[in-house]
Amino acid sequence: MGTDPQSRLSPALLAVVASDRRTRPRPSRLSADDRAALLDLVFAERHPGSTVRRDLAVRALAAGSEPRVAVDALAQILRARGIGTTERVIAADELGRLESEEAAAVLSRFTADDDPRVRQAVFAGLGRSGRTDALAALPESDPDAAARRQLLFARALVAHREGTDGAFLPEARAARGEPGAQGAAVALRPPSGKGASDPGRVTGGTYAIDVAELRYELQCGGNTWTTLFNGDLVRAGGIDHQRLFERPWIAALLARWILEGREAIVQHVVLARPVDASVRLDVVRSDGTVTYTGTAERDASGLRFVVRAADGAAVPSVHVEGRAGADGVAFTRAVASSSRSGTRTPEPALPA
Amino acid sequence: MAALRLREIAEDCLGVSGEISVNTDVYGYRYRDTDGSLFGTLQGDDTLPFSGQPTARSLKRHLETISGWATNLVVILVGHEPDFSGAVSRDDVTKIQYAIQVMRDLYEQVDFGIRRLNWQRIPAADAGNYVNITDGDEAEDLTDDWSGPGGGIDVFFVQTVGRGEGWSNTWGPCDKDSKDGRTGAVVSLAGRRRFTGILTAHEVGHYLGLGHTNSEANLMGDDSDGNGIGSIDNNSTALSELEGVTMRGHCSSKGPC
Repeated sequence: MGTDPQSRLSPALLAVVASDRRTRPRPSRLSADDRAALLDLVFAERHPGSTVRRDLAVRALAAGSEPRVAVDALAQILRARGIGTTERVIAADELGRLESEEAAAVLSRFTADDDPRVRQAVFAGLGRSGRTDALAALPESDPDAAARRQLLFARALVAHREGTDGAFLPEARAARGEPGAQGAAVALRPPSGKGASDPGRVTGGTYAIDVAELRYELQCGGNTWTTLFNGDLVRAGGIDHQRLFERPWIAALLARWILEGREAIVQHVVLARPVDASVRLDVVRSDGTVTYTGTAERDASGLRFVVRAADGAAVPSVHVEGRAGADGVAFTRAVASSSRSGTRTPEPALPA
Repeated sequence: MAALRLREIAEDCLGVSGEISVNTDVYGYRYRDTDGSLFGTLQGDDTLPFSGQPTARSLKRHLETISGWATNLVVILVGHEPDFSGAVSRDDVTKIQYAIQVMRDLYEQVDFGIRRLNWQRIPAADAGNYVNITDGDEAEDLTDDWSGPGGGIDVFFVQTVGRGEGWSNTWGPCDKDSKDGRTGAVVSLAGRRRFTGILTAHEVGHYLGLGHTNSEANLMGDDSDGNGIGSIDNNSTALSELEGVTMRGHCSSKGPC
């Protein structure tokens, strides 16, 4: 047996993986020795009293390495069956966020992993970056409900990214009923302040699409997202709506600002695909849950769209109508209820 | 006299009558480790703030605080199976009990109690990768999708939280269908026992209305870099009287019983 892996970590790295703190420094560029020590820590036997954390070591390996080097380290962790599920899930998650062909190739080898949580993370990663060849690696279905939802979303993301004729998400129905009169304010406006910031501050990837400079702030009650449009659908500061009728697209991303506006992270993906004379729109959360759904049709100004909350999603009832075209995007009617429906209830952990 | 007071409080405040188990019925600690311990395997750093000892508690002080201003918790085990075949281990549930005791000791400084614990679970098959939360947005998704029964603040215990270790809204809503922000606190179980208690008290403190401070010695931590994550560690234990007043003013706080 070698030396205790914790003893081989530099003071700076110890701070990065230290237990019992809420804030930690980000890792600087790791040396080969640093990486070896972190990998040893991940594979070491778990000690309850340890003052360092293996899950943080996996994150540090991803954050502190060049992408190609990170892929190798994360692949080693994903291959290791004797370690905890958590570390393997995080390795798959980090591989997905690299959004590279090399990372996708590694993930493709784990689509039939024994652990459903690992499979779910693998599907999420392939959805973030997979190209057409990823479809061949993705199974048709999965026995685990959460993994299956993520799998369907991954297949749909690849199809929309590549513009192929399927596989698409099962058709979501709009929830019945209208938001009440005393609803929350919904607005779409040009960005101000933090919403105007550069795409470089979007962490965790952009689903392997090039985002345009055009962006809007979408506010619903106390929540605000920045809408990032697919650069292939934007021309001269407006929406090239004709292209939406040509093929499926990952049309836009809805990013939430975190760390007091210092970084943004994509929370929802807007999928668009032509159906007959209209375009189907689905707003999908990163776990594959369709939260809002609607359609768009041509009109004199370009495109007219209607989006409502999806049936069964734990979101507020919403009704949004608007127009998109060369002048940009604008809402013509937007209302939302002030509360959610569809929330699930946990069950008692112990017998009464 | 003390026994009579215990029965009185158990009946009036906890709705418990008949034969009473102090740990199960009065504290709400329903789990034991395989060696029979309530708090599992402790490490050298694991001490309770009130006594400074690993496990020493004051039942008298506990009765005083739960019969005064207090709140209830809905403890939600994310990805848990009753036979511990899911994501939550027996070590985790005894860690949560220790964490809640740490939290009780911390809140006792300002005469605020944690009265009832309602243990709930999200089955492994339904939890998916909510077991490992990536960021504050995913924490919000979790509290959007799931809400515990009314009457207490939802505290979701997950295996890891990628950034921040825990998340909660400041001045969280009492309407669990509220559309804005998180309708519960989300807490990582990745830390050790005492720290998990401080972290839980910190996140529930947010929910009860407390903001960050400029001192890492305070339970609500230091956010002098302004990134929205209060820096806390094993020594972040102080609470001020004013913070106690804020906690008592939250809609989920319940008056003396």
